Amino acid sequence: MSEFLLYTGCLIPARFPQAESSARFILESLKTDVADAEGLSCCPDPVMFRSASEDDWLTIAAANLAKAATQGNKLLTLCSGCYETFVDARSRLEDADVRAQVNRRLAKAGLHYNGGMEVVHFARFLEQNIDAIKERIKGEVLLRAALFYGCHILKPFRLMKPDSLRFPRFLHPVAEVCGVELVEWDGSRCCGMGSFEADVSRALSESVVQAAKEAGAEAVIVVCPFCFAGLEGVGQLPVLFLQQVVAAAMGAPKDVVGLALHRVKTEIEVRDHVSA
Amino acid sequence: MAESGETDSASKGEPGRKRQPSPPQQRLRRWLLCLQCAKCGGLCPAARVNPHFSPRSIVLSLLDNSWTSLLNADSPIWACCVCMSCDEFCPQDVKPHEVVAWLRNEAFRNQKAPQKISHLVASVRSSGASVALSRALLRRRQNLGLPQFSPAKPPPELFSGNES
Repeated sequence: MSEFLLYTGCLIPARFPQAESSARFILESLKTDVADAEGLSCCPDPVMFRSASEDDWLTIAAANLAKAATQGNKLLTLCSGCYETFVDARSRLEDADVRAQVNRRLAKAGLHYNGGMEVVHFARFLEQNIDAIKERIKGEVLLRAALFYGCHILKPFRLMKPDSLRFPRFLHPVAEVCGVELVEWDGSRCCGMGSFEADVSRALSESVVQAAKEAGAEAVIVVCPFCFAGLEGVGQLPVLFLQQVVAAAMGAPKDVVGLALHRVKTEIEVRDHVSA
Repeated sequence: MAESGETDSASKGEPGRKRQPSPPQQRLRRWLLCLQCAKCGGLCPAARVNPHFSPRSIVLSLLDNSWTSLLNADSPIWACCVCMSCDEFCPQDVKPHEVVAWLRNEAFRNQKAPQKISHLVASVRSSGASVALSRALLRRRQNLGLPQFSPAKPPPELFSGNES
């Protein structure tokens, strides 16, 4: 049993592998006791799949939690969608009646969920390990950026327990310890990607990017691949995953940080602590 | 299954016959507490950019029992971004997003949901992933030195309609 179990989800490994390579670099640098989750499926996603059937969504999430519970103590997710699914499902399954109903369905597949399995978002893992990160920082990331929290790392409030719903700051120190200058803005907006109406998604993503520009940001830093897709799709500001910034500051090689894969091209300039 | 002890007795009717949909009673009792104060709409990002979308009106469809008219692929229920601000700030704990989620499930069950959803469910079912994988994408992973991406298919027994 490892302490952490890395769950990459679907969107990151398939579309934004640079978020995964950066995360793996950080985990290795911190010598985290972590293994890859084996035999799990799509979480399934809390927006589109849950729109089909909440019962199936909860049952498949429970199957994944049941499988994960045999492999590690804490499920580490890279995506706010997966995080939402597992945290919400876990909470619903704390109810003995709900768990019994789900277990009746799981039994048909030879599975059983006993409850438990801590779920950790990678961004919150970074927050929890900020001291260890600080010790391993090799240089200062020269960037003025807007940190975008998005929705699903914040809500439901009673489960996600952020420091604030409207003006969260709990991840600010992670970016700041890397040298990033963060602008003041409303980083708790919605990117709009959860809507089935493309016009709604586009309009909301555009308004987020517009607000970041008005606040004087050169880039937006995100913690979710859906937010990344929406905001980069606007095409006006570079978008970075928080772990790319941290990995760069910790001295990750360029091909691990993977900025060449971005549609809105950018470089992360790192000023070496020693030579500076 | 969403709330403790809540069972959908209507779904236990004759097999093969489409059940008459009815809102889940336990949740409906809470939904009917809606005061139509419209705080949800004031906070709603989708309503800000789409004037035809209003979480308050969607909850109203339960109060005046007109909700079956929302079960189609062009319905405003699909505009919701699932940001869950409405659930968070509703003074009556109605949870408007929960109403949207239930209506979406009903639309899907009645084959009146956007096709995108059936494609996604089919993809999860057949590959274990919600995203299709191309050779180019897999090459990208190789170039980054990443392990193979190999999600497992969920057991087929766990999908509704596969329970025998």
